[in-house]
Amino acid sequence: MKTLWYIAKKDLLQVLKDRNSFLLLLVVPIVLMVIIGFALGGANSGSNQIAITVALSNQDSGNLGKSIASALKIDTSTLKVTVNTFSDANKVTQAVKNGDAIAGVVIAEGTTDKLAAASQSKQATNNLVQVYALPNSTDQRVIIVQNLVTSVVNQTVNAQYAGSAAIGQVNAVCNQSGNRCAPQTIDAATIAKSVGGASTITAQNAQVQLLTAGEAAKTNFFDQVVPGYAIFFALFGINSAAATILQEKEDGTFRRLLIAPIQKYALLGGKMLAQFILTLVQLAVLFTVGYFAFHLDVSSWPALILLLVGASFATTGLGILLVSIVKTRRQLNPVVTLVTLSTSAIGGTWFPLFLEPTWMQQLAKVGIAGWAMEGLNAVMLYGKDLTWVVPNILGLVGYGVICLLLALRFFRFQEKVA
Amino acid sequence: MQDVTQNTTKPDSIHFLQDGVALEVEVQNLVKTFGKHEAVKNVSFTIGKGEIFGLLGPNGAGKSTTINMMCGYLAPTAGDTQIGTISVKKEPRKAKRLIGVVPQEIALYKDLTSLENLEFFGEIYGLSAKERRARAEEVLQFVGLYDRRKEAIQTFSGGMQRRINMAVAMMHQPAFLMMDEPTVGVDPQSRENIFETIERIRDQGTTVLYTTHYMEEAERLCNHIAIMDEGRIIAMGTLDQLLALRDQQREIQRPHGLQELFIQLTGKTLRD
Repeated sequence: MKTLWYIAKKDLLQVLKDRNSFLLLLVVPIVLMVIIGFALGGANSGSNQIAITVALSNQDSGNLGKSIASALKIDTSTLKVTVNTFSDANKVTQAVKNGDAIAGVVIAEGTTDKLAAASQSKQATNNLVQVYALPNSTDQRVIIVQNLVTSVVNQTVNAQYAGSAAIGQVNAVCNQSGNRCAPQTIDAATIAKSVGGASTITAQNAQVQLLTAGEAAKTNFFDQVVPGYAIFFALFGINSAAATILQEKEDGTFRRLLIAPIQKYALLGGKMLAQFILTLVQLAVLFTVGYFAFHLDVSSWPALILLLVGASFATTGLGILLVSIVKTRRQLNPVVTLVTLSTSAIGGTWFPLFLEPTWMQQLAKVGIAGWAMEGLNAVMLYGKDLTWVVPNILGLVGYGVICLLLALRFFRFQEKVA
Repeated sequence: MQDVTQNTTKPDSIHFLQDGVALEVEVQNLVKTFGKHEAVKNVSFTIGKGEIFGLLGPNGAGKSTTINMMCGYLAPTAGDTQIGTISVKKEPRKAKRLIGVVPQEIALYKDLTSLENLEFFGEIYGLSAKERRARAEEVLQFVGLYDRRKEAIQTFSGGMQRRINMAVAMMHQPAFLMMDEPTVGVDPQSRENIFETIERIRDQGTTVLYTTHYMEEAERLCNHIAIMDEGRIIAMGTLDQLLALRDQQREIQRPHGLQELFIQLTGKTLRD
């Protein structure tokens, strides 16, 4: 065991002395995590509020225009709509075009009157209000604005038709035998306006109450970016760790150690111990930085720690296996790059696993990243506990064990000497 | 017979090589095959206590394979090596404690300092922390690099790296030192320094196996010389015995005697 530690200690000392290794191990991942995290929306991290800017041109003096303008005034913990008003409809479309507003709403002059006339004549109404957005926009915020406006228009239309129906009903009641109404007291316009106005007020005040159930999906992108890039760079760390073994073989120090009175498996074990410690320290530092700097949400610390230990072990096993397969450092680079990039891409280190098709999520398990990210997503995005990620931890440990067994089968301690 | 392993590995003193026990080394019918290729063919020789034995031969003659089997790095297909009473084949770890190897390449951690390199190999050979530091300082003084002990190996000249390469092999006070072309690529001054170091090691009782391509080195240092070619020993004896072998056939000028003998025995065909 002492020999194992002496070899690991020497390897760690070499890494500490190598500024490039240190940069690649810690500095580069942190810089990249910060850039990607903020690029993907980290500036809003920690807030669940959706912010929408709307350009509005309300030229209607009636209820409809007022109702829509009123309905757009929203400032809650989950939704904030900022309304920029313009007298000129062209400025609304310009604001949308320039990106100053997510959506534009134009309510033409006399829209309410047009709606009233249509309802009295029992005609259908179309295209009363215009909502503008960029072509082919898939922005969900545009749909929110459109739904808000549509809702108000529908309610207003219904109110107008309700007013007309009320007049008809009053006339029917007055004309029944035994009833007597002074014709001058039945003011059709006043009845329609009162019923319509009441309906509109009711419609405005009796909105469906929005309640929540369960936990809102987190929008702190660092909860995805930090684990993703930590695992990605841990996998890339295989390159330098594995390269030290190949370098020792090329320099002759590996042979020198094999000539010494130590077990050859202690030599391999020492190298593995160094890689395991390095990977674990790397992951621990990246997560610690992430936790304090980017307020990572961790639902279970034991689960997180065991996942990181499992990922470090699996990475170590994979590193030794790759060294067993390749002969030179020149061969190692493309192999590690291919394995790391492909398994990271499908393993959910660059984007959440749930965005991938089901078959790809299953394929992700061929790599360490898939096992690790599934567990880390569960702990950091979905608030799961240790029991939930036990299969992932076991998967990582099993992955490492399989790699090590294969490595022991193929690892060449001695090179042929002529 | 005393237990040489105990005497040489028990670090109850830090005096340089003072406690080393000179051992006879006997190579017995070593054979090594790689597939169908027989790299070493039934090689046997004996190195007397405290002498320098030269193993010469062209590239691919089987010298390195022989050394690798003698130090326990390669398992022989047949045969064995006895270091005193210890069999390398049967008790490899015990035998390895008695052996120091100076490899042909600079087998050092070049990003570490010379002191860190020596202390690391001291750990590997089981020296305690106190012994490691004391031994490292001793061997550094022995090879004349004590003042550079805190500098990284990569800042050293080729000759200095060669001297540290030797120092590492001496850290655990080996009774038997194998040196595989230790002067390759060094300047005359460094070579002279290395020669002096080897002679001092021999004078202090260490048995030495020395391989080289430079005949003048063998002539200067070696008590006995074996010439290998194509996996076999084709001539062996003292320098005088070897020269006499050729002198029987024709006159050879002494300054180039061994060189001529070597070429005559191994031929002029270029080797890989």
